[in-house]
Amino acid sequence: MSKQDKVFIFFLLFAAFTIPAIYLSFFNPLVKEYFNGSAPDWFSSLVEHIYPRLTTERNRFPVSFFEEKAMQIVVRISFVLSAFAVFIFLKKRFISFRKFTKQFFHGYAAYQQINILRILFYSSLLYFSLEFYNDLLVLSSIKVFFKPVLLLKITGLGFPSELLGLSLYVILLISCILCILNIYPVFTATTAVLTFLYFQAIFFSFEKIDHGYTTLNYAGLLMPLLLYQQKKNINSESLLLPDWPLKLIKLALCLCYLLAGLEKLFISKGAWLSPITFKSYLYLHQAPLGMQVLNYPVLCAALPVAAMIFQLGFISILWNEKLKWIFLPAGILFHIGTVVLLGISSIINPWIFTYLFFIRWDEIEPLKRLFKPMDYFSNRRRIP
Amino acid sequence: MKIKLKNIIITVFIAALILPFILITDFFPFARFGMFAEPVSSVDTLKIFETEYYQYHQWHYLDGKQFNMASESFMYLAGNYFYRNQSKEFLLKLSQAIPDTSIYAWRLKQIQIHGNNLKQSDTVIIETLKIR
Repeated sequence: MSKQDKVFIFFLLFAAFTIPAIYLSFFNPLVKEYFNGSAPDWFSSLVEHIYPRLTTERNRFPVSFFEEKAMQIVVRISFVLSAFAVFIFLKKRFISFRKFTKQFFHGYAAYQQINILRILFYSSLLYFSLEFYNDLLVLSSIKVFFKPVLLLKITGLGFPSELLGLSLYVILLISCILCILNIYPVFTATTAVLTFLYFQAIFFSFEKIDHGYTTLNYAGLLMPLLLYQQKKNINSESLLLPDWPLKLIKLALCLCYLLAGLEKLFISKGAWLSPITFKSYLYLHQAPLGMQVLNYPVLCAALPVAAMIFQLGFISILWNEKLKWIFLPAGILFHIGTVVLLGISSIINPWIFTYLFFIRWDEIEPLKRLFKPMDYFSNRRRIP
Repeated sequence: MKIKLKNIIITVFIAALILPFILITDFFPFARFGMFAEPVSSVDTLKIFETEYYQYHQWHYLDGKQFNMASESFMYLAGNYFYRNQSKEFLLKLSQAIPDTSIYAWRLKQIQIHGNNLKQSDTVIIETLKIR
Protein backbone atom coordinates (compact mmCIF):
# COMPACT_ATOMS: atom_id res chain seq x y z
CA MET A 1 0.00 0.00 0.00
CA SER A 2 1.46 3.38 -1.00
CA LYS A 3 1.84 6.32 1.34
CA GLN A 4 -0.76 8.18 -0.72
CA ASP A 5 -3.30 5.38 -0.12
CA LYS A 6 -2.58 5.39 3.61
CA VAL A 7 -3.13 9.16 3.77
CA PHE A 8 -6.37 8.84 1.83
CA ILE A 9 -7.68 6.09 4.15
CA PHE A 10 -6.64 8.14 7.18
CA PHE A 11 -8.45 11.18 5.76
CA LEU A 12 -11.67 9.15 5.18
CA LEU A 13 -11.61 7.69 8.70
CA PHE A 14 -10.75 11.06 10.24
CA ALA A 15 -13.74 12.61 8.45
CA ALA A 16 -15.97 9.69 9.51
CA PHE A 17 -15.19 10.28 13.18
CA THR A 18 -15.09 14.07 13.23
CA ILE A 19 -18.30 14.74 11.27
CA PRO A 20 -20.58 13.53 14.15
CA ALA A 21 -18.62 15.71 16.61
CA ILE A 22 -18.92 18.76 14.33
CA TYR A 23 -22.64 18.11 13.90
CA LEU A 24 -23.28 17.81 17.63
CA SER A 25 -21.25 20.94 18.39
CA PHE A 26 -22.48 23.29 15.70
CA PHE A 27 -25.47 21.99 13.72
CA ASN A 28 -27.66 20.11 16.21
CA PRO A 29 -29.24 23.36 17.52
CA LEU A 30 -30.36 24.15 13.94
CA VAL A 31 -32.79 21.21 14.06
CA LYS A 32 -34.50 22.65 17.15
CA GLU A 33 -34.49 26.12 15.61
CA TYR A 34 -36.20 24.76 12.50
CA PHE A 35 -39.05 23.42 14.61
CA ASN A 36 -39.29 26.62 16.64
CA GLY A 37 -39.44 28.59 13.39
CA SER A 38 -36.29 30.54 14.28
CA ALA A 39 -33.90 28.84 11.83
CA PRO A 40 -32.45 30.91 8.96
CA ASP A 41 -34.75 31.02 5.93
CA TRP A 42 -32.21 29.34 3.65
CA PHE A 43 -31.98 26.40 6.04
CA SER A 44 -35.76 25.95 6.38
CA SER A 45 -36.19 26.23 2.63
CA LEU A 46 -33.42 23.68 1.96
CA VAL A 47 -34.83 21.21 4.49
CA GLU A 48 -38.35 21.44 3.04
CA HIS A 49 -37.07 20.93 -0.49
CA ILE A 50 -35.18 17.79 0.49
CA TYR A 51 -37.87 16.56 2.89
CA PRO A 52 -41.30 17.61 1.60
CA ARG A 53 -42.87 15.23 4.16
CA LEU A 54 -41.54 17.38 7.00
CA THR A 55 -44.40 19.86 6.60
CA THR A 56 -46.67 16.99 7.65
CA GLU A 57 -44.41 15.20 10.10
CA ARG A 58 -43.40 18.25 12.12
CA ASN A 59 -47.05 18.33 13.28
CA ARG A 60 -47.00 14.62 14.02
CA PHE A 61 -43.82 13.89 15.96
CA PRO A 62 -41.90 15.67 18.74
CA VAL A 63 -38.63 17.47 17.97
CA SER A 64 -36.66 14.60 19.56
CA PHE A 65 -37.82 12.32 16.69
CA PHE A 66 -36.19 14.63 14.15
CA GLU A 67 -33.06 15.13 16.23
CA GLU A 68 -32.68 11.35 16.15
CA LYS A 69 -33.23 11.27 12.37
CA ALA A 70 -30.68 14.08 11.86
CA MET A 71 -28.18 12.09 13.94
CA GLN A 72 -28.98 9.05 11.77
CA ILE A 73 -27.95 11.01 8.68
CA VAL A 74 -24.65 11.95 10.31
CA VAL A 75 -24.06 8.33 11.35
CA ARG A 76 -24.83 7.18 7.80
CA ILE A 77 -22.33 9.67 6.33
CA SER A 78 -19.72 8.27 8.74
CA PHE A 79 -20.72 4.72 7.82
CA VAL A 80 -20.37 5.33 4.07
CA LEU A 81 -16.99 7.06 4.54
CA SER A 82 -15.75 4.17 6.72
CA ALA A 83 -17.05 1.61 4.20
CA PHE A 84 -15.20 3.46 1.44
CA ALA A 85 -12.01 3.40 3.54
CA VAL A 86 -12.41 -0.37 4.06
CA PHE A 87 -13.00 -0.80 0.31
CA ILE A 88 -9.76 1.09 -0.52
CA PHE A 89 -7.87 -0.94 2.11
CA LEU A 90 -9.13 -4.29 0.74
CA LYS A 91 -8.38 -3.19 -2.81
CA LYS A 92 -4.81 -2.26 -1.98
CA ARG A 93 -4.11 -5.09 0.47
CA PHE A 94 -5.57 -8.19 -1.25
CA ILE A 95 -4.60 -9.13 -4.78
CA SER A 96 -7.76 -11.13 -5.50
CA PHE A 97 -9.98 -8.20 -4.45
CA ARG A 98 -7.86 -5.77 -6.49
CA LYS A 99 -8.16 -8.03 -9.52
CA PHE A 100 -11.92 -8.29 -9.03
CA THR A 101 -12.49 -4.52 -8.76
CA LYS A 102 -10.11 -3.79 -11.64
CA GLN A 103 -11.83 -6.23 -13.99
CA PHE A 104 -15.39 -5.52 -12.87
CA PHE A 105 -16.10 -2.65 -15.26
CA HIS A 106 -13.69 -3.87 -17.95
CA GLY A 107 -15.42 -7.05 -19.02
CA TYR A 108 -17.17 -8.07 -22.23
CA ALA A 109 -20.56 -9.49 -23.04
CA ALA A 110 -21.67 -11.40 -26.10
CA TYR A 111 -23.54 -9.47 -28.77
CA GLN A 112 -26.32 -12.03 -28.64
CA GLN A 113 -26.59 -11.70 -24.83
CA ILE A 114 -27.33 -7.96 -25.19
CA ASN A 115 -29.84 -8.70 -27.93
CA ILE A 116 -31.78 -11.16 -25.79
CA LEU A 117 -31.61 -8.84 -22.76
CA ARG A 118 -32.97 -5.99 -24.89
CA ILE A 119 -35.91 -8.05 -26.08
CA LEU A 120 -36.72 -9.42 -22.62
CA PHE A 121 -36.30 -6.12 -20.76
CA TYR A 122 -38.39 -3.98 -23.12
CA SER A 123 -41.05 -6.70 -23.24
CA SER A 124 -41.20 -6.46 -19.41
CA LEU A 125 -41.35 -2.66 -19.59
CA LEU A 126 -44.14 -2.91 -22.15
CA TYR A 127 -46.06 -5.35 -19.95
CA PHE A 128 -45.77 -3.20 -16.81
CA SER A 129 -46.77 -0.05 -18.76
CA LEU A 130 -49.97 -1.46 -20.21
CA GLU A 131 -52.24 -0.15 -17.43
CA PHE A 132 -50.55 3.27 -17.17
CA TYR A 133 -53.07 5.21 -19.26
CA ASN A 134 -56.02 3.69 -17.43
CA ASP A 135 -54.33 4.49 -14.09
CA LEU A 136 -53.77 8.05 -15.24
CA LEU A 137 -57.43 8.50 -16.21
CA VAL A 138 -58.68 7.19 -12.87
CA LEU A 139 -56.19 9.33 -10.92
CA SER A 140 -57.21 12.43 -12.88
CA SER A 141 -60.48 12.39 -10.90
CA ILE A 142 -58.52 13.25 -7.73
CA LYS A 143 -55.93 15.57 -9.24
CA VAL A 144 -56.97 18.17 -6.65
CA PHE A 145 -54.61 16.22 -4.34
CA PHE A 146 -51.71 16.38 -6.83
CA LYS A 147 -48.43 17.53 -5.25
CA PRO A 148 -45.58 17.13 -7.75
CA VAL A 149 -42.46 15.20 -6.74
CA LEU A 150 -39.11 17.00 -6.90
CA LEU A 151 -38.34 15.68 -10.41
CA LEU A 152 -41.56 17.21 -11.78
CA LYS A 153 -40.92 20.47 -9.94
CA ILE A 154 -37.42 20.71 -11.42
CA THR A 155 -38.58 19.88 -14.94
CA GLY A 156 -41.67 22.07 -14.63
CA LEU A 157 -43.96 19.22 -15.68
CA GLY A 158 -47.43 18.84 -14.21
CA PHE A 159 -50.43 16.54 -14.42
CA PRO A 160 -50.98 15.93 -18.15
CA SER A 161 -54.20 16.63 -20.03
CA GLU A 162 -56.08 13.60 -21.34
CA LEU A 163 -54.69 14.11 -24.86
CA LEU A 164 -51.10 14.58 -23.70
CA GLY A 165 -51.41 11.57 -21.41
CA LEU A 166 -52.67 9.44 -24.29
CA SER A 167 -49.91 10.70 -26.61
CA LEU A 168 -47.20 9.90 -24.06
CA TYR A 169 -48.73 6.50 -23.41
CA VAL A 170 -48.66 5.68 -27.14
CA ILE A 171 -45.07 6.96 -27.35
CA LEU A 172 -44.11 4.71 -24.42
CA LEU A 173 -45.66 1.60 -25.96
CA ILE A 174 -44.31 2.28 -29.46
CA SER A 175 -40.83 3.00 -28.08
CA CYS A 176 -40.80 -0.35 -26.27
CA ILE A 177 -41.98 -2.20 -29.38
CA LEU A 178 -39.44 -0.49 -31.65
CA CYS A 179 -36.68 -1.21 -29.17
CA ILE A 180 -37.68 -4.87 -29.02
CA LEU A 181 -37.43 -4.90 -32.83
CA ASN A 182 -34.01 -3.21 -32.62
CA ILE A 183 -35.14 -0.14 -34.56
CA TYR A 184 -33.13 2.90 -33.42
CA PRO A 185 -32.58 1.05 -30.11
CA VAL A 186 -30.64 3.80 -28.29
CA PHE A 187 -33.22 6.49 -29.12
CA THR A 188 -36.28 4.30 -28.48
CA ALA A 189 -34.79 2.93 -25.23
CA THR A 190 -34.21 6.51 -23.99
CA THR A 191 -37.73 7.59 -24.97
CA ALA A 192 -39.21 4.51 -23.32
CA VAL A 193 -37.48 5.09 -19.98
CA LEU A 194 -38.23 8.83 -19.92
CA THR A 195 -41.96 8.32 -20.52
CA PHE A 196 -42.00 5.36 -18.10
CA LEU A 197 -40.46 7.59 -15.40
CA TYR A 198 -42.83 10.46 -16.20
CA PHE A 199 -45.92 8.30 -15.65
CA GLN A 200 -44.54 7.05 -12.34
CA ALA A 201 -43.65 10.59 -11.26
CA ILE A 202 -47.31 11.52 -11.82
CA PHE A 203 -48.56 8.47 -9.90
CA PHE A 204 -46.22 9.21 -6.97
CA SER A 205 -47.23 12.87 -6.76
CA PHE A 206 -50.01 12.03 -4.34
CA GLU A 207 -47.75 12.16 -1.28
CA LYS A 208 -46.69 8.50 -1.49
CA ILE A 209 -43.81 6.99 -3.42
CA ASP A 210 -43.99 3.31 -4.34
CA HIS A 211 -40.77 1.34 -4.82
CA GLY A 212 -42.26 -1.44 -6.93
CA TYR A 213 -40.69 -0.28 -10.19
CA THR A 214 -37.37 0.97 -8.76
CA THR A 215 -35.22 -1.82 -10.17
CA LEU A 216 -36.88 -1.46 -13.60
CA ASN A 217 -36.14 2.27 -13.43
CA TYR A 218 -32.46 1.75 -12.64
CA ALA A 219 -32.06 -0.83 -15.38
CA GLY A 220 -34.07 1.35 -17.78
CA LEU A 221 -31.82 4.35 -17.14
CA LEU A 222 -28.71 2.30 -17.95
CA MET A 223 -29.98 0.17 -20.83
CA PRO A 224 -29.53 2.94 -23.46
CA LEU A 225 -25.83 3.02 -22.53
CA LEU A 226 -25.57 -0.73 -23.05
CA LEU A 227 -27.35 -0.47 -26.40
CA TYR A 228 -25.02 2.39 -27.31
CA GLN A 229 -22.06 0.04 -26.77
CA GLN A 230 -23.73 -2.36 -29.17
CA LYS A 231 -24.29 0.37 -31.74
CA LYS A 232 -20.74 1.68 -31.38
CA ASN A 233 -19.27 -1.77 -32.03
CA ILE A 234 -21.61 -2.68 -34.85
CA ASN A 235 -18.89 -2.82 -37.46
CA SER A 236 -16.26 -4.46 -35.30
CA GLU A 237 -15.13 -7.97 -36.09
CA SER A 238 -15.57 -9.16 -32.52
CA LEU A 239 -18.85 -10.53 -31.21
CA LEU A 240 -17.96 -9.27 -27.75
CA LEU A 241 -18.95 -5.83 -26.46
CA PRO A 242 -17.80 -3.78 -23.45
CA ASP A 243 -20.31 -4.68 -20.74
CA TRP A 244 -19.74 -1.97 -18.13
CA PRO A 245 -23.36 -0.67 -18.34
CA LEU A 246 -24.57 -4.25 -17.75
CA LYS A 247 -22.25 -4.56 -14.76
CA LEU A 248 -23.54 -1.23 -13.46
CA ILE A 249 -27.12 -2.52 -13.80
CA LYS A 250 -26.19 -5.64 -11.80
CA LEU A 251 -24.45 -3.54 -9.16
CA ALA A 252 -27.48 -1.23 -8.90
CA LEU A 253 -29.84 -4.19 -8.45
CA CYS A 254 -27.59 -5.68 -5.76
CA LEU A 255 -27.32 -2.31 -4.02
CA CYS A 256 -31.13 -2.11 -3.87
CA TYR A 257 -31.20 -5.21 -1.65
CA LEU A 258 -28.11 -4.21 0.34
CA LEU A 259 -29.42 -0.71 1.07
CA ALA A 260 -32.88 -2.07 1.93
CA GLY A 261 -31.26 -4.42 4.47
CA LEU A 262 -29.03 -1.70 5.91
CA GLU A 263 -32.00 0.68 6.13
CA LYS A 264 -33.84 -1.80 8.34
CA LEU A 265 -30.82 -2.30 10.60
CA PHE A 266 -30.09 1.43 10.91
CA ILE A 267 -33.65 2.60 11.51
CA SER A 268 -34.65 -0.16 13.91
CA LYS A 269 -31.19 -0.41 15.52
CA GLY A 270 -31.39 -4.19 15.17
CA ALA A 271 -34.95 -4.51 16.55
CA TRP A 272 -36.13 -5.46 13.06
CA LEU A 273 -34.63 -8.91 13.57
CA SER A 274 -36.77 -9.48 16.64
CA PRO A 275 -39.71 -11.92 16.24
CA ILE A 276 -41.89 -9.28 17.97
CA THR A 277 -41.40 -6.85 15.07
CA PHE A 278 -42.13 -9.56 12.52
CA LYS A 279 -45.27 -10.67 14.40
CA SER A 280 -46.46 -7.06 14.53
CA TYR A 281 -46.10 -6.73 10.76
CA LEU A 282 -48.00 -9.99 10.21
CA TYR A 283 -50.75 -8.88 12.54
CA LEU A 284 -50.92 -5.46 10.94
CA HIS A 285 -51.53 -6.83 7.44
CA GLN A 286 -53.89 -9.67 8.39
CA ALA A 287 -52.96 -11.88 5.38
CA PRO A 288 -54.44 -15.39 5.92
CA LEU A 289 -51.11 -17.25 5.66
CA GLY A 290 -49.37 -14.59 7.76
CA MET A 291 -51.92 -15.12 10.50
CA GLN A 292 -51.17 -18.87 10.38
CA VAL A 293 -47.42 -18.24 10.71
CA LEU A 294 -48.13 -16.35 13.96
CA ASN A 295 -48.79 -19.77 15.53
CA TYR A 296 -45.22 -20.95 14.82
CA PRO A 297 -42.65 -19.10 16.99
CA VAL A 298 -39.74 -20.81 15.23
CA LEU A 299 -40.85 -19.39 11.88
CA CYS A 300 -41.42 -15.95 13.41
CA ALA A 301 -37.84 -16.00 14.67
CA ALA A 302 -36.22 -17.52 11.57
CA LEU A 303 -37.96 -15.67 8.73
CA PRO A 304 -36.76 -12.10 9.54
CA VAL A 305 -33.19 -13.38 10.02
CA ALA A 306 -33.36 -15.27 6.71
CA ALA A 307 -34.75 -12.16 4.96
CA MET A 308 -31.91 -10.06 6.35
CA ILE A 309 -29.24 -12.59 5.32
CA PHE A 310 -30.77 -12.61 1.84
CA GLN A 311 -30.82 -8.81 1.52
CA LEU A 312 -27.30 -8.26 2.83
CA GLY A 313 -25.88 -11.29 1.03
CA PHE A 314 -27.39 -10.75 -2.42
CA ILE A 315 -24.47 -8.55 -3.51
CA SER A 316 -22.09 -11.54 -3.09
CA ILE A 317 -23.27 -12.83 -6.50
CA LEU A 318 -21.11 -10.13 -8.08
CA TRP A 319 -18.06 -11.74 -6.47
CA ASN A 320 -19.01 -15.35 -7.14
CA GLU A 321 -21.42 -15.77 -10.04
CA LYS A 322 -22.33 -19.33 -9.01
CA LEU A 323 -24.05 -17.94 -5.91
CA LYS A 324 -26.82 -16.62 -8.15
CA TRP A 325 -28.26 -20.13 -8.22
CA ILE A 326 -28.88 -19.72 -4.49
CA PHE A 327 -29.79 -16.02 -4.31
CA LEU A 328 -32.06 -15.74 -7.35
CA PRO A 329 -34.42 -18.55 -6.24
CA ALA A 330 -34.18 -17.15 -2.70
CA GLY A 331 -35.16 -13.75 -4.10
CA ILE A 332 -38.20 -15.21 -5.84
CA LEU A 333 -39.22 -16.86 -2.54
CA PHE A 334 -38.56 -13.58 -0.69
CA HIS A 335 -40.92 -11.61 -2.95
CA ILE A 336 -43.57 -14.34 -3.02
CA GLY A 337 -43.27 -14.45 0.80
CA THR A 338 -44.02 -10.73 0.99
CA VAL A 339 -47.18 -11.33 -1.05
CA VAL A 340 -48.50 -14.35 0.84
CA LEU A 341 -47.45 -13.36 4.37
CA LEU A 342 -48.13 -9.62 4.24
CA GLY A 343 -50.55 -9.37 1.33
CA ILE A 344 -48.43 -6.66 -0.32
CA SER A 345 -47.52 -6.30 -4.01
CA SER A 346 -48.24 -9.15 -6.42
CA ILE A 347 -46.66 -12.39 -7.56
CA ILE A 348 -45.78 -10.73 -10.89
CA ASN A 349 -43.15 -8.52 -9.30
CA PRO A 350 -40.96 -6.11 -11.32
CA TRP A 351 -38.05 -6.85 -8.97
CA ILE A 352 -38.11 -10.50 -10.01
CA PHE A 353 -38.23 -9.53 -13.70
CA THR A 354 -34.93 -7.68 -13.36
CA TYR A 355 -33.21 -10.95 -12.37
CA LEU A 356 -33.04 -11.50 -16.13
CA PHE A 357 -29.84 -9.41 -16.10
CA PHE A 358 -28.08 -12.12 -14.06
CA ILE A 359 -28.80 -14.94 -16.54
CA ARG A 360 -26.37 -15.81 -19.36
CA TRP A 361 -29.00 -16.09 -22.09
CA ASP A 362 -26.42 -16.47 -24.83
CA GLU A 363 -25.45 -19.84 -23.39
CA ILE A 364 -28.96 -21.22 -23.84
CA GLU A 365 -28.96 -22.57 -27.42
CA PRO A 366 -32.74 -22.85 -28.00
CA LEU A 367 -33.13 -19.22 -26.92
CA LYS A 368 -30.43 -18.06 -29.32
CA ARG A 369 -32.34 -19.68 -32.15
CA LEU A 370 -35.66 -18.27 -30.93
CA PHE A 371 -34.45 -14.66 -30.73
CA LYS A 372 -32.38 -14.69 -33.90
CA PRO A 373 -35.29 -13.74 -36.24
CA MET A 374 -35.81 -10.53 -34.21
CA ASP A 375 -32.51 -9.27 -35.59
CA TYR A 376 -34.03 -9.34 -39.05
CA PHE A 377 -35.56 -5.94 -38.32
CA SER A 378 -32.26 -4.28 -37.55
CA ASN A 379 -30.91 -4.94 -41.08
CA ARG A 380 -27.49 -3.96 -39.87
CA ARG A 381 -25.77 -7.02 -38.65
CA ARG A 382 -26.43 -10.70 -38.88
CA ILE A 383 -25.41 -13.02 -36.11
CA PRO A 384 -23.29 -15.78 -37.60
CA MET B 1 -17.36 6.95 -25.32
CA LYS B 2 -14.18 8.00 -23.57
CA ILE B 3 -13.00 6.12 -20.50
CA LYS B 4 -13.23 9.31 -18.47
CA LEU B 5 -16.93 9.78 -19.27
CA LYS B 6 -17.55 6.13 -18.42
CA ASN B 7 -15.98 6.63 -14.97
CA ILE B 8 -18.02 9.79 -14.40
CA ILE B 9 -21.25 7.98 -15.28
CA ILE B 10 -20.43 5.05 -12.99
CA THR B 11 -19.47 7.33 -10.08
CA VAL B 12 -22.48 9.62 -10.42
CA PHE B 13 -24.89 6.70 -10.73
CA ILE B 14 -23.52 4.90 -7.66
CA ALA B 15 -23.60 8.17 -5.70
CA ALA B 16 -27.22 8.72 -6.77
CA LEU B 17 -28.10 5.21 -5.55
CA ILE B 18 -26.52 5.77 -2.14
CA LEU B 19 -27.69 9.37 -1.57
CA PRO B 20 -31.32 8.49 -0.61
CA PHE B 21 -29.96 6.01 1.97
CA ILE B 22 -27.68 8.65 3.51
CA LEU B 23 -30.28 11.44 3.55
CA ILE B 24 -33.20 9.12 4.49
CA THR B 25 -35.45 10.39 1.72
CA ASP B 26 -36.48 9.55 -1.83
CA PHE B 27 -35.15 11.49 -4.79
CA PHE B 28 -37.35 9.91 -7.41
CA PRO B 29 -36.33 7.92 -9.47
CA PHE B 30 -33.69 7.13 -6.84
CA ALA B 31 -35.30 5.47 -3.87
CA ARG B 32 -34.80 5.01 -0.17
CA PHE B 33 -36.10 1.61 0.88
CA GLY B 34 -37.80 2.55 4.13
CA MET B 35 -40.82 0.31 3.70
CA PHE B 36 -41.06 -2.12 6.62
CA ALA B 37 -37.89 -0.65 8.10
CA GLU B 38 -39.49 1.06 11.09
CA PRO B 39 -39.93 -1.37 13.98
CA VAL B 40 -43.56 -1.82 15.04
CA SER B 41 -44.06 -2.69 18.66
CA SER B 42 -47.05 -4.78 19.72
CA VAL B 43 -47.75 -2.21 22.43
CA ASP B 44 -47.94 0.67 19.95
CA THR B 45 -51.26 2.23 19.05
CA LEU B 46 -52.11 1.73 15.41
CA LYS B 47 -53.93 4.64 13.78
CA ILE B 48 -56.14 4.03 10.77
CA PHE B 49 -57.85 6.79 8.79
CA GLU B 50 -61.13 6.15 7.02
CA THR B 51 -63.17 8.40 4.78
CA GLU B 52 -66.94 8.01 4.49
CA TYR B 53 -69.75 9.70 2.58
CA TYR B 54 -73.42 10.00 3.47
CA GLN B 55 -75.68 8.82 0.69
CA TYR B 56 -79.20 7.32 0.70
CA HIS B 57 -79.54 7.70 4.50
CA GLN B 58 -76.39 5.86 5.44
CA TRP B 59 -72.62 6.23 5.66
CA HIS B 60 -70.49 4.43 3.04
CA TYR B 61 -66.77 3.65 3.25
CA LEU B 62 -64.66 5.25 0.48
CA ASP B 63 -61.91 2.95 -0.75
CA GLY B 64 -58.83 4.42 -2.45
CA LYS B 65 -59.11 1.63 -5.03
CA GLN B 66 -61.89 3.68 -6.63
CA PHE B 67 -59.12 6.09 -7.73
CA ASN B 68 -56.73 3.28 -8.58
CA MET B 69 -54.82 4.08 -5.41
CA ALA B 70 -53.90 1.34 -2.95
CA SER B 71 -56.20 1.59 0.10
CA GLU B 72 -53.13 2.18 2.30
CA SER B 73 -51.94 5.05 0.07
CA PHE B 74 -55.32 6.76 0.25
CA MET B 75 -55.36 6.31 4.03
CA TYR B 76 -51.84 7.73 4.15
CA LEU B 77 -52.98 10.78 2.14
CA ALA B 78 -55.91 11.33 4.53
CA GLY B 79 -53.53 10.96 7.49
CA ASN B 80 -51.17 13.57 6.02
CA TYR B 81 -53.98 16.12 5.79
CA PHE B 82 -55.02 15.29 9.36
CA TYR B 83 -51.51 15.81 10.74
CA ARG B 84 -51.25 19.13 8.90
CA ASN B 85 -54.56 20.19 10.51
CA GLN B 86 -56.15 20.27 7.06
CA SER B 87 -58.88 17.64 7.50
CA LYS B 88 -61.58 20.06 6.35
CA GLU B 89 -59.54 20.91 3.24
CA PHE B 90 -59.15 17.19 2.56
CA LEU B 91 -62.92 16.63 2.67
CA LEU B 92 -63.54 19.75 0.59
CA LYS B 93 -61.12 18.54 -2.10
CA LEU B 94 -62.75 15.13 -2.02
CA SER B 95 -66.21 16.64 -2.49
CA GLN B 96 -64.84 18.55 -5.51
CA ALA B 97 -63.27 15.39 -6.91
CA ILE B 98 -66.54 13.45 -6.52
CA PRO B 99 -69.29 15.97 -7.30
CA ASP B 100 -72.13 13.50 -6.77
CA THR B 101 -75.39 15.29 -6.00
CA SER B 102 -76.73 12.32 -4.03
CA ILE B 103 -73.94 12.72 -1.44
CA TYR B 104 -75.00 14.87 1.51
CA ALA B 105 -71.90 14.85 3.68
CA TRP B 106 -68.32 13.66 4.02
CA ARG B 107 -66.44 12.66 7.13
CA LEU B 108 -62.94 11.63 8.17
CA LYS B 109 -62.56 9.06 10.95
CA GLN B 110 -59.58 7.93 12.96
CA ILE B 111 -59.59 4.42 14.39
CA GLN B 112 -57.06 3.73 17.12
CA ILE B 113 -56.21 0.07 17.71
CA HIS B 114 -54.38 -0.62 20.96
CA GLY B 115 -51.70 -3.31 21.27
CA ASN B 116 -52.47 -5.30 18.13
CA ASN B 117 -55.96 -6.12 19.34
CA LEU B 118 -58.62 -5.32 16.77
CA LYS B 119 -61.33 -5.66 19.45
CA GLN B 120 -59.75 -2.86 21.48
CA SER B 121 -60.33 0.06 19.16
CA ASP B 122 -61.56 3.62 19.57
CA THR B 123 -63.13 5.55 16.74
CA VAL B 124 -62.97 9.33 16.62
CA ILE B 125 -64.79 11.45 14.03
CA ILE B 126 -62.18 14.03 13.13
CA GLU B 127 -64.14 16.21 10.74
CA THR B 128 -67.53 16.23 9.05
CA LEU B 129 -68.34 18.32 6.00
CA LYS B 130 -71.98 18.87 5.06
CA ILE B 131 -72.34 19.88 1.45
CA ARG B 132 -76.15 20.06 1.16
